[in-house]
Amino acid sequence: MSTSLFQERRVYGKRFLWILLLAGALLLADWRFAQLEYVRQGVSATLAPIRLVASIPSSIADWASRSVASRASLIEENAQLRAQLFVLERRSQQMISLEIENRRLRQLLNATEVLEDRFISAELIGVDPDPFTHHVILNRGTRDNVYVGQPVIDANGLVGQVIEVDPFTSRVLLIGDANHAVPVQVNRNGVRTTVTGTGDLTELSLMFVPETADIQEGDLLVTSGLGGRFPMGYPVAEVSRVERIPGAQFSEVRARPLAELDRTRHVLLVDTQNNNRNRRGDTQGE
Amino acid sequence: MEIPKANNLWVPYATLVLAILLSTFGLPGWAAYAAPEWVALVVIYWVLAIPYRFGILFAFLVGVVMDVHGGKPLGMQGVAMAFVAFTALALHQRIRIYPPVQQAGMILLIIGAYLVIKQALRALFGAGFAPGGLYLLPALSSALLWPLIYLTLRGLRIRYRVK
Repeated sequence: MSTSLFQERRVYGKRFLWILLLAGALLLADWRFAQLEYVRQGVSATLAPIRLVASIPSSIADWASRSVASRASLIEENAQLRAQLFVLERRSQQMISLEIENRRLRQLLNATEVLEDRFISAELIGVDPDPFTHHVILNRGTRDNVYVGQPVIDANGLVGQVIEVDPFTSRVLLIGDANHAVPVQVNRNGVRTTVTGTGDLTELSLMFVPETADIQEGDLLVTSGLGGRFPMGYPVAEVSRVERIPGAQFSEVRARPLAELDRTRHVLLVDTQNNNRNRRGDTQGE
Repeated sequence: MEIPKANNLWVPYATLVLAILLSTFGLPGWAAYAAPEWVALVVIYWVLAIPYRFGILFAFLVGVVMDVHGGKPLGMQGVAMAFVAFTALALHQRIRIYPPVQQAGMILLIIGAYLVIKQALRALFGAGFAPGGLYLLPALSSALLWPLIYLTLRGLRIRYRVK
């Protein structure tokens, strides 16, 4: 009788080994082949309600703070926005003529035309609770033509890129994640470099900057468009610290992201694929 | 062992969904590092309580769902979760007769091992960056929470006669 009481343990061990083999195969398959993406999308879509429910408390807080805002503060905010709009409108007055001039000059130089990007607005509905990664969830998915690799920006600068989509939501890897890198150039002089995340959302690091590179504190870094993932010219970060270490091959350069990575709620998805399609259409038409 | 007829099996699944929901809420600042492993705790409870229905495969599938939910390589958390179920199954006859506080000690060890496995796989697949031994904090918070979770789920199991 006493032997039958603990016999099961060996059965569990065997079962555990089988599951380990299964898991290994699954991990390998997920790593090497793209087919499992459909499984992931399916499961992810069924989990979408959980994500939506999880975002309810913050939307309620949002709604409450909006509906109990005092008249005075609303008037004040309105005046502020009006002033801001005025400034922006003044800036965009000459935009049309400048754009046409830019196009003409580019034609003179035989440079390819730069097309205007299209945007989809999106709202943040969740933040990955894992403290070791920086992912956020947006309320747009394949239904809204979101695709993997799509750049995400906010009002101030680059936020990150889409790494996963299901029909209703998408997952964005922030530029502050330690696994993220983006090719940039210094706006002042065009020096090319790469900005990587550090795991800290308020600090980015510049990779492999030679001792002699002309990079100063306060320099604006914009996307260079190299690598083909991010379109050119979106502001990414501002150089906050340049440290030249005697004897070291590279200097240590840190930058502060311009987008409010830990606060922003409303973002824009830049549609670069659509542009490529248009561009191809244009050249065929010529 | 004679297996009783299944009854009210939706209760464990409902508690699991609730646990996934709880794990989706981010905690602010430093508390995020100590967020309890809700899902692992609920899985442990049901494996201990009804080991003939909830076993290693069940835990593995829950882990895979968590992988999808967290955007991790498929099977990463699955392996860790299967290990949790395996240890819980192997020890369930012993753990069941402990008082909840002593059970919490076992939970500390099981969740600790679970976190180490998760961390090793995370490093292997480059899915996230972890400074120092911070990743072990959830074991402590999970162990502290265990008596509460144990009593709540036991109450639910008895009330709905889950078999």
